[in-house]
Amino acid sequence: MSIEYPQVLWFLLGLIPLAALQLYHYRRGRRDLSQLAGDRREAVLTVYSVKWFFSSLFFSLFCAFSILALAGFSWGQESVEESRGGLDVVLAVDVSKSMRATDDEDESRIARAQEIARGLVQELPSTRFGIVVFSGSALRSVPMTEDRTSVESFLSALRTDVMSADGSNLETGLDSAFSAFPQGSGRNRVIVLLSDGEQHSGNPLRPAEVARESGVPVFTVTVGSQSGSTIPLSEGGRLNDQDGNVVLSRADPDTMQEIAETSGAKAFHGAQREVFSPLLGEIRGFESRREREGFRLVAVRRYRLFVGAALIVVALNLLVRVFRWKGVI
Amino acid sequence: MFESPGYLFLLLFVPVGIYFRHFWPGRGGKLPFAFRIWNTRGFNPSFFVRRAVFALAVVSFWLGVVALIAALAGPATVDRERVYLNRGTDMMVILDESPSMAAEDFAPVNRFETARDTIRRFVERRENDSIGLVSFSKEAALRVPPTTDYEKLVDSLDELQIMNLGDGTAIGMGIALGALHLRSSSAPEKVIILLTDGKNNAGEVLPETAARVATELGIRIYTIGIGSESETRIEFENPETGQVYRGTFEGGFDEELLQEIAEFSGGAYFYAGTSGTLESVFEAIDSIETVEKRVRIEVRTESQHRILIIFALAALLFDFFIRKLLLREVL
Repeated sequence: MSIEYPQVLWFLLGLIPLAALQLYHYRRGRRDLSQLAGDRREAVLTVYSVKWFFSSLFFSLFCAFSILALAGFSWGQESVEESRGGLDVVLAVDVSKSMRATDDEDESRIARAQEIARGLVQELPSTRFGIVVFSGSALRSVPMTEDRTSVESFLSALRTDVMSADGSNLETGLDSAFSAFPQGSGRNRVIVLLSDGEQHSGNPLRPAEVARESGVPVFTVTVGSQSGSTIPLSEGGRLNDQDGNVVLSRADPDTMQEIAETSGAKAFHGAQREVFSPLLGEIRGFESRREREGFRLVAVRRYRLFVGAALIVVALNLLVRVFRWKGVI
Repeated sequence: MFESPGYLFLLLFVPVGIYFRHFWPGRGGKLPFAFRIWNTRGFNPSFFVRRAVFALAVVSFWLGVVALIAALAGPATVDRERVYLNRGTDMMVILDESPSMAAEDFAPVNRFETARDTIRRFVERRENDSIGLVSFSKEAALRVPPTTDYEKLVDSLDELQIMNLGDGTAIGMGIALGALHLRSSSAPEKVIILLTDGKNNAGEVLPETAARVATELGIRIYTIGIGSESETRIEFENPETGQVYRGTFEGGFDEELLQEIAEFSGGAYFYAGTSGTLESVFEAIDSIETVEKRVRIEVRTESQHRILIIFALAALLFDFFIRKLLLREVL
């Protein structure tokens, strides 16, 4: 079972003030009625209490069920027919400043990312590639093409200074990667996100969710260590913050893991030789699975159950209020 | 569109509900009491305003119920995408960027702008074909690899500037570079469209050699010679220095060479002396290079239930607060 918008469930807390309001209202209603009812007071108040109880209960239940419907519960899976052949891969490469960090290894993070990307281009022969680079903003550098020459030459010339925008925004990067798939290609689609996962703005889980709904897995490769590393500058020295302290950039594999899992793919983190062949295997496996099966599984949304329940309690609420209590009034 | 429109029959119960709640003589929730003592003034609130507010609450309640029923029926928007089942043609447009392209014998601006506009319209007419762009003058550069991402292609086309690559006409380099980037293409048909107004006078590769290589890769070359032989006014800005050059220009393209290249590779040669003819040349290439397209329509639905549920919740809460707080209804 999964919940698409778990944050909506916080609105259930709103039921508490609602109940308080109803209670306050009940006491006021009793007072008003006892003033008006005269001789029939006892009978009227009993009926009122019963009716109040059920109508309030049903109204609160209606609110609860609506909120549950909005939260987007889903369980179980159904298959959606999708026969696609071939593979389109978008390589989304982080080129923010933190990718210059070396993490006490021979190569910078970006060089390691480049290495993995180049390996994929070489090992996936009949695949089309597109490249998106991003830091604070994103750019479709190489459009989806079969032309390996230009993909490889762009990759080998890749530097962290290709983007002038500061910061690191995985959300724009993923959005841009997703839009780099041309319309109507009829091929399987995969995004490979190469980054240290360190981000300064944006919510990357939103585009990951969009990707999942369209059947596009986002495989993530985290480069860099969690213990952190300084960022060398091209003009020598290290990157300092405003107060003159040395900036430490820590890789964030947890964020990358979340992105991959949200989109229905796998995350990779570690040394290049450990990461590369499992990643390649996953991508190949994904392609052949889709081609063999001709369908993909999507989670079944269960909002209807809750909407139906909400409708029933609204009807009950109406009934309680409309029908007379025989023989009392 | 609704996923299960059957639920919409529940809407039939709405009028029934409205009748029972508002018109049925036997409905409850009313408590008769003395409104005023005979012949005196009773309390007489502004009845009209209250009725109006009450009506508003009632309307919002029933609209909320309707929205809830609609949400139950699974509302969705449908998106149709044309998916091409076969591979289109791969094309590489090779455009001359030399200063002579600034000659103003092509309406409305000059040869270059006309060529740019014509190529843009040509790209917009094609579907499912990967199209790339190479520009050349003294040297050649790949602007866009062959792609079906036409948005990116047109963007790059718009960024082209005369004399970005120096002064000269390296036709051979242009063809060679175009062929290089078509090499790994798996398309059944590969085509180069060469557009120039000058004679080959730069570059390390001879046009004939480049054409031979391209032919071996199975690429057909269409050559288009543009411009007139007569003296024409010329005006352009050097993109590096920002200096504006004005003058007159005379000299044409190497018709023989273009003819030879086209014939050798199995393409065709065209001459375009005016904007109109250039347009028709591209239309001709467009109609020659058509492959049968097999298309499947892929339907994607996107559920829209959330907005309806939010509306229903808001409407019913609105009704609740109006009646309970504003009108002080006891039940």
